[in-house]
Amino acid sequence: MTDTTGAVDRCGQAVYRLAYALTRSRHDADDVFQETFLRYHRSAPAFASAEHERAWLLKVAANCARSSLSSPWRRRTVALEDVYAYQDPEASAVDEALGRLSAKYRAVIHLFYYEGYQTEEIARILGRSPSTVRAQLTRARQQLKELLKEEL
Amino acid sequence: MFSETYQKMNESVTPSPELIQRTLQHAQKRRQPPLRRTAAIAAALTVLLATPALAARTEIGYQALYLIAPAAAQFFQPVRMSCTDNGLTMEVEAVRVEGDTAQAYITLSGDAVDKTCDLYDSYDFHLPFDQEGHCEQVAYDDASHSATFLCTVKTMSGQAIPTGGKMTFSVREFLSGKTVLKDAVVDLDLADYDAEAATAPTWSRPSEKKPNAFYCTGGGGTGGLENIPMLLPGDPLANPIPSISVSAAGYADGLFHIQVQLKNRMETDAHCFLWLEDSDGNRLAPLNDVYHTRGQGAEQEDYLDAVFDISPAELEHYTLHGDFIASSKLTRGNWRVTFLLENTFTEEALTEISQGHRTGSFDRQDTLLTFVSQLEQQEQRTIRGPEGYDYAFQEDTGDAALAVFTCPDGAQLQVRLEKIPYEDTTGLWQVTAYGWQEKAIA
Repeated sequence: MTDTTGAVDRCGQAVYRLAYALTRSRHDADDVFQETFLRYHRSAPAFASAEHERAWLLKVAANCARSSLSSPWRRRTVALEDVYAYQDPEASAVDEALGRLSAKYRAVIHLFYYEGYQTEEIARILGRSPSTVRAQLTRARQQLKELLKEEL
Repeated sequence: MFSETYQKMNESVTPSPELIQRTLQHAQKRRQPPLRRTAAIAAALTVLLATPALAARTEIGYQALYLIAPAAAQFFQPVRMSCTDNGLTMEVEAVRVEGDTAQAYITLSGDAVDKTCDLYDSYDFHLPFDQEGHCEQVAYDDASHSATFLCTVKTMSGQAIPTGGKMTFSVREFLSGKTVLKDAVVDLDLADYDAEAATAPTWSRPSEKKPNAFYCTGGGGTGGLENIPMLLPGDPLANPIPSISVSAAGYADGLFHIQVQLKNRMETDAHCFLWLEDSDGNRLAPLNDVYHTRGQGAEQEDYLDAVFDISPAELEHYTLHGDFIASSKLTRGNWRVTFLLENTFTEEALTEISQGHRTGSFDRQDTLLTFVSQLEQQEQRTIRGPEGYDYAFQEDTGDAALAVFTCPDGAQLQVRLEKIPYEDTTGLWQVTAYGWQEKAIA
């Protein structure tokens, strides 16, 4: 029997944070979160380890977010009450800078800096080649460096 | 520093208890898949496991594929089946199904196709699994207006895609005529707009809704988003690209606004990023980007107000810059091709052939008409007319052929056949793909 409740306990925050990092909308992140765990409930394979389960869920979440983002008809706007606001000026600047990056760059930034994955692991999660991920990470850092005027 | 800040920022990003409860309730209510479908998948897997690898396919079809992807050609199964709708032809060049992954090289050709053509997510491998995929343009031929894409899907669960059956690939719509103007200077003298500008009525909550007012769909940025006014749109002040024009500029509540209209946004995917830049190249990013919309369908209007914190005296030192992106054409249609995956001959069938019970497989016409009569029953369509089957071979190389049937209802059925080598025989004919044309090709 699929332990969806346990999976939400173990990985719910990680899934939600990745979903929000990609969509930058609480509403969309809610949708991605729900869809990810419904897919988990419906079709999760047997996992070799907790890390395997976490990586699978992040992969599904990234795909759900990508589906949402890839539509040319997706609204490119976010409702006013739909974003996290930061009082700290530094956090606010980072948030603004991230908002100006494309979702594909935010994905690698999040998985690298927040989840702590190496580029090979990020490549597996995002279904990209390791060289693509390395290039995207470099470009994302360059853009953030420009926007934040600081070294990463 | 960034890493620490980002870690800290994420602490507040967390799913609400209501969301968790709702998700778990949904999961518990979700019914198991119908037994019939489970049985069908199990049966397909059984066929797969029981089927030996068949001899390599003939060379037909590889020629086209080698031009596109020579390194990958040997792993792909040529299909070369096309479907025409709305003046555009989609040809599935070749497919590969391996484990949990299906890939197809497809070529779209027609006047609406250009090198900016993008399928986005409007293509589909019809599979009874949750799937995720992506699509990339791998080649474009300007002379024939043909763009070739590699579409890839994987099953979400990692479950293998059954081979031995058939699969349909379809495309519903695509955008083309994409214009990308990067880091463009907009021909607008900002100093001319240093005065207060008229604003438009807006609303963001249902209780505030007013007739003819613009709905604030949201935005982003560092400034407080609440209560940022929208400038009243006017005649275009500048037109960086055809789908995007500057519709107003000026001050409102002490902040400088540049407003752009995103024309026919639902069908052009028009969007842009604006900033101000001084003569030394220093950029001033907007405090906020705020989006407003009004009307629906053909009447819909979409505007973006980029809001800058800059004094009127400073305006003369800056110019307006932006990245502007829009597609000019949305093409809809119903392009679909069905192809049969490898191993149409099971071990049992090959035994029967060896024993002389299925001689029809050596005969192209027998193979073709047997397939078509079965297809009539499977798809509940009438292919045979009162005087028998009306068909002709449009391509015939001896080892491969394309038969085109004209049905009583005017539709056309295309069936591609190939002859595969088999032991010491003249070879076995098999159908590799088919497709319907609801209207006869002109």
